Amino acid sequence: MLACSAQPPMPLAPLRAQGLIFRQRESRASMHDDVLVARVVAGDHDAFAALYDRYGPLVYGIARRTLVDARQAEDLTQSVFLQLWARPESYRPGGSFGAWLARVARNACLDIVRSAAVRLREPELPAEVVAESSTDDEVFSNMRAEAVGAALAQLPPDQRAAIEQAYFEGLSYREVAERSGAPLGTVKSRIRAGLRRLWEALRERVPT
Amino acid sequence: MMRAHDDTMLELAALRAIGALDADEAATIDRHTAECAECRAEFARASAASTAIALSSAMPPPAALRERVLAGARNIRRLRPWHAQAGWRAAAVAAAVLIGVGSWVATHRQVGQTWAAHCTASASSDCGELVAVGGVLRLDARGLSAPPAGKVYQAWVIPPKQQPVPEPTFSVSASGEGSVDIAAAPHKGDIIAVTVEPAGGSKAPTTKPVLVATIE
Repeated sequence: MLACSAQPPMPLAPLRAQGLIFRQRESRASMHDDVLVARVVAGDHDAFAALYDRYGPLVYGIARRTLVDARQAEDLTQSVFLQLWARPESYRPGGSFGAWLARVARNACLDIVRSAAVRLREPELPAEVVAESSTDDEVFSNMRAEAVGAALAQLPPDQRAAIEQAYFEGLSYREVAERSGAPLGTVKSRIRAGLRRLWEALRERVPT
Repeated sequence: MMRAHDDTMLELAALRAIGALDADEAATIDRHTAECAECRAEFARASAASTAIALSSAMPPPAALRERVLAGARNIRRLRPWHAQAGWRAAAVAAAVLIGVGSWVATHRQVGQTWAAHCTASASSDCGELVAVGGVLRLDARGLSAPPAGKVYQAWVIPPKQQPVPEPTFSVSASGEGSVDIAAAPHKGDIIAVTVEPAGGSKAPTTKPVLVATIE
């Protein structure tokens, strides 16, 4: 457990000043994600509850949007958080816990969606590519749901539909093209242009 | 063989970020982005935008789900990672004591604020010194082999009866020598340990210590 009770020895003082170590009585609701995860690693149920309160809406929202069925979305949310409790060290501190959990939740949802599909599973991202995506964490940590919703609403409908189908339904661009009847090249351009516009809109909202 | 860079590659990088490629195309762009900075940047932007989309879907879960999740956690018995177990410190202390007994003379040859450091893999091995200098503890290690690809050495301060406190990472030269400054005052009973960790370091040790020094 990272917390200590009183009069810490010298080595802990700088970490406490940085907010990485807290006194026991400090409210868990105000703790940094990484500290909460460290406490979950140590078996702290209250820290786990605080993470659920903070990120339950995110995981449940992804599940509802992807799986549609409310009961299935609840089961998925429960499964994601219980996996977090069982193996909290799966998260490597230092990035954005929220972005990591969103990826976990989405992958779990798409596993369910794809289990009935014949599409060949796309392999997991290679570690070196993931490691270079710290931009994800920066955007995620500074963004609010309303801002992302507003940015999405500004996209042309065909671009928004294409990227939402790819993200929430796990469709490949070929599948998006089949569904929309648009040429493959058009769909590829729509997805890239939509992501580019979204990135530009979000970047304006992220404090630098 | 890496495919040459063009606009098609940029398009594939963006599609890869949102997971909209089939397996063969994903493999093609993965090989390309490993070598192409422009496509890595495109991937990073598209990935950030994709991940942010998740936020737009957030909605409050049913109130009853909270109790289901918390009750589920209370019913799960899990094995705590080795570093969170009381035995980790005991193991580090045991290693330090065992080594210390075997090299009492070496441990006490210190002049002033210097302590011997030892490799845990070999009880007789002298693996450097810990020196209090300029307000920090400087660990000058030697005899360490190069860590595996993507891994680094990381120092830890382990105060008595407390969990390891993360300190900076460091690398070693081809001859196995490396130094790290630990922003801590010498505190009797503290153990300074070194473990192999993923690049960037860890907040808690993920491997057993390869080097220890005890401040006495």
